[in-house]
Amino acid sequence: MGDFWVVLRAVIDELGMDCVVPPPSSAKTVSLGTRWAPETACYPLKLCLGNMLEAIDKGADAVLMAGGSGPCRFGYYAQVERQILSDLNKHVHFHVLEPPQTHPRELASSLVALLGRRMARIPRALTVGWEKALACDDVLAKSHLLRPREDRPGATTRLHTSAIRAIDEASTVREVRRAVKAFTEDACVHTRPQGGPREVHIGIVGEIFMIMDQFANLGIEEKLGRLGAVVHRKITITDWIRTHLFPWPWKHTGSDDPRASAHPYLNHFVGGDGIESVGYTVLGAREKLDGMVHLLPFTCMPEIVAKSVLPQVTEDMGIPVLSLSLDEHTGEAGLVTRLEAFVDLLRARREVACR
Amino acid sequence: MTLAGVAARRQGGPVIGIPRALFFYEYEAFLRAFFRSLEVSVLLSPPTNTSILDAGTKLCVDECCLPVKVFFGHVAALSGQCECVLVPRLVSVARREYTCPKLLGLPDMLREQARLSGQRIIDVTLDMYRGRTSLLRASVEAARQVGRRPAQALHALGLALTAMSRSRAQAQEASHLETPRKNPGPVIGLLGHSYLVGDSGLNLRLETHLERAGATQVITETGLNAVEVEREAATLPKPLFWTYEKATVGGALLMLKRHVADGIIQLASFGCGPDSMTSSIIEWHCRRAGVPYMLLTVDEHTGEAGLETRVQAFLDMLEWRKKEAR
Repeated sequence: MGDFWVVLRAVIDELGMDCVVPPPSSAKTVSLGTRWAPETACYPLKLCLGNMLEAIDKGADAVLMAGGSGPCRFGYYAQVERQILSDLNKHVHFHVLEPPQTHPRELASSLVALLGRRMARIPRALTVGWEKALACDDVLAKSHLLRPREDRPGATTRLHTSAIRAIDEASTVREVRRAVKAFTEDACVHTRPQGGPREVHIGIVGEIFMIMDQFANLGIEEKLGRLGAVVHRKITITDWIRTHLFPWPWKHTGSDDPRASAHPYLNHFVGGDGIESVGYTVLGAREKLDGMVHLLPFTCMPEIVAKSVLPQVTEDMGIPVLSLSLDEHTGEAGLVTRLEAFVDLLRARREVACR
Repeated sequence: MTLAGVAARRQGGPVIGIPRALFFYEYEAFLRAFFRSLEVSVLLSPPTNTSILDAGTKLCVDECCLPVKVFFGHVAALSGQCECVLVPRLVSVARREYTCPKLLGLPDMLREQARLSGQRIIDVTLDMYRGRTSLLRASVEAARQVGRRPAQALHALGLALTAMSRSRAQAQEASHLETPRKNPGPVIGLLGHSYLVGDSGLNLRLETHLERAGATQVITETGLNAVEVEREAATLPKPLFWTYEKATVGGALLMLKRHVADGIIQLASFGCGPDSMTSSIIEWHCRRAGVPYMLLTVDEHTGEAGLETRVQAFLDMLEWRKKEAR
């Protein structure tokens, strides 16, 4: 899921375990996943399953998966995946980490089973992990801003990839910060300081896996950046950790709270990131973004609810929204055409507004 | 305005429209008793037909599942007949469980359509995730929105709960009374959401086709003991957190344990999130128990002839299995 592996690897290494990072998702991952996963399960399940199978082939003997308490299907994915792996005679230890708010006891017992005496290393592991998460998000946000202004196509992506590698290799907080600083300095050399008049600002909302996994969304952020759009996205690794794992100290309050902003369009949480999609679209309109791209895996329940109320937000607040539901059948050329048309539309709107 | 609408109007007092879709099939007895006690006339939308289906498909977002689309169609069918339509937000109907996300967002999804057609939505939130007090609050709120006092609401709630448990007991009893006929054909376990199994317009008269193809008896979840279903559902490594789907899986496990069904058919709508999970769980258990299993997926493009063929083929296969076993 995006650069999340960097964070997880750091935490697992610090806890004194070996971590097998599956090869980057590829056509093989998709075909493995779709072959064994339930037919109408959503794309994230299929990709995760494919990743698991590839990691097991690479020598992993235990799988760590997040749980959940619904109503999004994700909460049950670990169970289905465990079943599929055992049917395929892949004998691995399957550890499910349930969310701390609803299943504190289950979480504690699985952590004890997993770590035993190494529990004492958790604080240090989380410190390093959190620093890397912040660094990944920082680098990503900067690359979104810089990509439309890069001097050579692909320069930002190259810098971003090497920065992520440096963050991954860093073992202390200071090294992580140095990697971010190096990225910022390099990026300034390769970009123009000011955006051109044709630059548009697009927000990305939707289901978190589809937003973060650049393979699943066919590199939509890079594509938008190349088309000259600055991508703004609030749903990031750190935001997810803040709102889903430890909501208490970091709760959004006041005017930047996506859940409150979704009112009156969506007045209740619907699982997953449904209410956040609506809320961030409203916030995007207030921040005067030019348009929003809404990403969802095909058949995603919470996002379908969001998708059906978003036209109302568009009508009331005048912010165009492009809903893209993606799965393993999505063709890249079709996606590019739609994005080009959308960016052209936003530019035309901007010119009309400026006149 | 239809005849039913005129009749409901003439009785005087407020009229509440209830779409004959989704929650209606599960809570029909409850809703009727509740509003009867409040002296509010209930106007039901007609049974699902082609025009309702078409209207729903047009009004709802394309990616939604068929039952939700049809719900939109039913609300549209009620427009012009009554001022307010009941669209509750069923967040949770049991402790530590949820319903489907689309039911959580239902009033919000419908608000714009209702506003355009001049309907008022009776939007009450029922969230029993942390306990049952929400049921009291929701009843009082629903009564308030149709102009009734809290005391009346609580009285009505008591009657409605009694009516619901009585109708469930009756349904269970009725399924046991059926005596096997002379020529015993296969017994089919039919699983799925009540709004799919109970709505013959949505499931393209599946039960008729089953009967015509030679099924002696069709067992559904309503015919099973709810306590036993619950117990079976709890045997899963992690209990499902959706109430209705938990009952579906529990029902399947109970049927397999008791060996009551020769074959199991699961009816699901295309794109149903929870059922994409339950179908894989049920299929797995059926395979292990050696009971044939078929998943029938319906959406607005499903043709009745195709469904009929699949049902016939499934039943023929069951017959052959029986003959070979003998």
